[in-house]
Parts: sequence; structure tokens; C-alpha cells
Amino acid sequence: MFSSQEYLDKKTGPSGVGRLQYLQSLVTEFQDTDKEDCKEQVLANLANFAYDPINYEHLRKLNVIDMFLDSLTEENERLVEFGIGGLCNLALDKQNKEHILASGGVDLVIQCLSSRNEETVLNAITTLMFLTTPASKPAITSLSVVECMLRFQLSKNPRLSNLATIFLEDYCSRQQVEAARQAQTGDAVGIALPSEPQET
Amino acid sequence: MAAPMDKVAEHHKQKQICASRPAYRQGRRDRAVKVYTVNQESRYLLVQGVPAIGVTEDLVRRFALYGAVQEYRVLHEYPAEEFTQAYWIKFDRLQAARVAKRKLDEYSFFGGVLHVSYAPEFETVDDTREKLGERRILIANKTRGKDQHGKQHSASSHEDKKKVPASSSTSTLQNEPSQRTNYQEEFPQVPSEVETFPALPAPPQQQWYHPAQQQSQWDVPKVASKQGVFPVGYDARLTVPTPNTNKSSPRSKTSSDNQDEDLGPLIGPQLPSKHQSGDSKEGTSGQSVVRPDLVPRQVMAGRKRPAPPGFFGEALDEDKDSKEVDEDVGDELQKASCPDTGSSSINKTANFVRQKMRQISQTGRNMSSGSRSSKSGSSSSSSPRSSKKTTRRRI
Repeated sequence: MFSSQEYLDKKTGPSGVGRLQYLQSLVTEFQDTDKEDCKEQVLANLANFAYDPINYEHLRKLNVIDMFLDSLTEENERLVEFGIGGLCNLALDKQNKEHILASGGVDLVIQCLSSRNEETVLNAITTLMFLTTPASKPAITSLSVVECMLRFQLSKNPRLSNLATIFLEDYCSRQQVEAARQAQTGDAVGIALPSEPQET
Repeated sequence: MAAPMDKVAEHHKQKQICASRPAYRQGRRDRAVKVYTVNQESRYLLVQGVPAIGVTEDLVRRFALYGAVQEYRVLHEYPAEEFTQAYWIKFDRLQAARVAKRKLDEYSFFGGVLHVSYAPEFETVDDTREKLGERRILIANKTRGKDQHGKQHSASSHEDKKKVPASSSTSTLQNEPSQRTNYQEEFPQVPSEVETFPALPAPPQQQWYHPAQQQSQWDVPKVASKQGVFPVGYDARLTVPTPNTNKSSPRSKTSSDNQDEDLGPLIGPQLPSKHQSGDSKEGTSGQSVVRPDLVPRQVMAGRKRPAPPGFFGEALDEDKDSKEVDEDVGDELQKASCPDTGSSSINKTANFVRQKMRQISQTGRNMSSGSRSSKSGSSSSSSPRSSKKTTRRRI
């Protein structure tokens, strides 16, 4: 599943391009190129590299996490999809998590929940789960997010409903879920109904 | 909740290969532009393009080489090309599914090309929860190791700083060589920097696959290169008893035999002439074994391998001797080709299938004894192999 350093060294050989250098060339190409195709390919490549923790040091050094976060606001849907995929892959590492949270990543990821792309939404839900810390929990389990998850839970798409169920059961408290349910049904407790008009 | 079968899901469709990659980042295999996260991966696989010529058993056995298969179904209603079928395969472990997908996607199988994709829509909530949990644990283990590494790193580099103002532990792009030397401190057995003009590489030699060289449990068996040439005079049709099978059969140990055993991996192709002269080796009852690393993969796949007895509910063979030998040979073949999973995963798969069929026959019996109308639309009473509908089992 994951590569070891010995495996990488063996694959590279004595005169080959090392992993860091290769990633650096990818980042450079992404920054320099104008073609959308190339940007998509490079971003997808980096997102796949983000799957293996051996690359995390390099990715942090090259500010790839910021690159992923920036791509979430792009118009090109594929760039958003690959960016959120990359974040989903590396959000479990402590240092990466802190960096994402410090850069206001939670809001950007929450925005991805309203994407039309199925993979983007799924990756966004998982990223939110991975980013949950005691400090970030209030923002991640805010009312609007929980409401959104309740809607997803009713979806016919099993992948979506499964993830939403896990989010609601494992990451939200019962009160939060209840509050969101009530907000959805418009059951505004405390506001008196208008009295019946009295017929004289 | 049944997976939508009338419309093919996007992630089941094969995307176009990317043809516009610049050379420096063109990989060995042509691939589409796709990102895989924990959400895309699954222990459930969808296999399309399987020729509809009754090869279920072979297909499942092929997949079971990479890990135990818990369940499998033919998806009769899945939109498939003419003369092909789609299969649904559930692995016991995600890692096995990953390896199987990587190895068997675009694999030529009985004249058809397999298209293997993940099928996470078949997961239950618990499956997904377990999958995410496993990913968490894996990353935690990997990064915990790195943290400790990093602490040792900084500790050792601090000591170094007092002695020599050498490179710091936090290497930058320019300090690539120093990063390499840092690794040397940790792994002194790594060879030192190569001289500017390395000697010419030795002429290509046949590298025989040796099970002992396997590094980690994640290594998949590698056969000799597909482009590798057989030695002169070697005939792949001739079979050669391996040192392993020779141990099980009684034979007189001569010095030449010992030599053969030791040099077995190196002089494999020359063995037939030596062994045919010695008839005492025929204790394997003519069931000699082809060295898997000398036979093309396609031949291996098409070859009828002796399955573990009762694998698909067949009657067990009365002839014990040949059966034992078959098992030995079958096991050895599988062990040789898949030292880690091979026979054990095939046996596990067989157990899963047997359990499932027992369950089904029991429920079938209960139903027929319980009520007159036995066939009242219960999908669980149909056997997995002949299920007409794909129903997602919700536990």
C-alpha cells in the first residue's frame, strides 16, 4: 500500500530524480502552465501522492496543501474534485491537519458540500470527519452542516447516505442532530401560534 | 438498499487514458486522470468484460490469489457488452482488493480484457465505518513512526552540530545530498554516494524470484520480466520437479542431487536432463511442477490447477495418494507464485463459499418446511452463483 524509503531509493537509482525533486517539478509545472489539462493532470498526480504518508514532508515543504485549498475555489469542477481528494488523503496527519485548520480550510471544505460532483461531496464529508478536533468540532458540526447531512442521509446514493449516517452518529451529539431536525421541519418551539380569529 | 443497476455508475465506467502527459511524468502504464481516496476504494470489486463461457470458477480462483474472497456473484442484469458478464466480488480485506484491482485491471482473461473497478456503493454503514477507521489507524501508525524518527533525527543532529557545523536536520531543496547523508546515519547499511563515473553495469542475468527475498507482507509476487528470454534449449512444456516437492518424495541423496538442490534456482532449465536419468525422483508420481517464474502469466492463468478438495462442493476424490500429491503440487504452485496469500487465501475463500452455501441450504430447508408456498420472493434462498438480482445485503 505504502512505499518505503528503501523502495523509493531502489526505484530512483543513483542518478535518478528523487521524490522531492520530482514533486518540485510538478509544482513548478502547475504554477507555470496555462493549459487547464496540464493543471488537472498535475493536481491529480499530487493528490494521489498525498495518499502515502512518506510524501507528507515533501508536500508540506512545497506548500502543496495550500495549493489544494486554493483549488477548492476554482471554477473548474475537476480541479475542485482533485483538490478536495488531495486534502482528504492527507488530512489525517496531525501537522497537515493543523495547517489546514489554521488556513481556514474548514469553511472551504464546507462549501464543497454543495458541489454537483458526487466525488467532491463524498471527499468533503470525509475530510470534515478527518479534520475534527476538539477545537474545530463546533465549526464542523454547525447547524447548517448537520442539516445538510440529514438531507444526505435520505439520499438514494448509498455512498452518500452511509457517510452522512456515520457523520451524524459518530461526530455529532444527539442534541445537535435534534436541533437540526427541528430546524428542518420548521418546528419553531416557543413561538406561539396566532390565535383563532374570534367571530363576533 | 439496492444499488442502481439500471444506470451504470460513473466510477464503474472506464475513463479515457491521458495521452497528453509530458515525458517526464509519463508513467510505465498508461492511465486516466483520476484521484483515489479512501472513499473510492472498497473491498467490493466490480469486474466487467469477463467472457460468458462459464469461467466463474477460474475467475474467482484468480482473484482469490490476492486475498480471501468472501462472496461473489454474477450480475446478470448489469449492462455488459455482448458475450461478456459482470461479476461482483467481495474481499475479506481492503488491501487484498487493492492489490487484485491493480494486478487484474486490463488483464487478458480467456480472450477478454477485464475491467476491474471498486464498488463502494455495496458497502454497509459498518463497512464504511470500518474502512475509515482502518485508514485512520494506518496513517497514525505511519506518522507515529515518522515522529519518533524525527525526534531521533533532531537529537542526533544536535549532537552533530556541537562537533561539526554540518547540515541541519531540516533539509531544503539545495541540501539534497545532506538529506541523503542523514539517512546514512539512520541506515548505515545503505551504500554511500556513488562515484561520478560508475562502472558499466554487469551484463543482464536471469534473476530468479526467491521467496526469501521478500521484504514486506505487502510485496506481491513478481515473476521474471515478461521480456525476459528463456535460456537456450529450455522448453516450457517440460516440467521440472522443484526442490520443495523433491523433499516430500523419497529419493536417494547423492552429491549431485544436493548440488542441484542448492543451485536449483540458478540452473533450473538444465535440470530436466539430470533428473530424467534418476528414476527415483518419480516418487512425485509424474506430477512434476513447472517453475512459475519461467511460465508466462497467461499460461498460468489458463492452466487447470488442482484446487483444494471440495472447493466448489465437488465430491472428494477417493484416491488419497494422488489427491495428497495434487494438494502438495497445487499448494506448492500457489505458494511459489504467491508466497504470502496463495493457498491460504484460496482455502479461506473455499471456506467462505461453503459457509454461505450451508446457510442458504438451511434457510431453504426452513422455508420449505415452514410454509407451503416456499418460493415467496426471498432472495436469500437463491444461491449466490445463480442470483438473478443484485441485492445489497443490509444486515
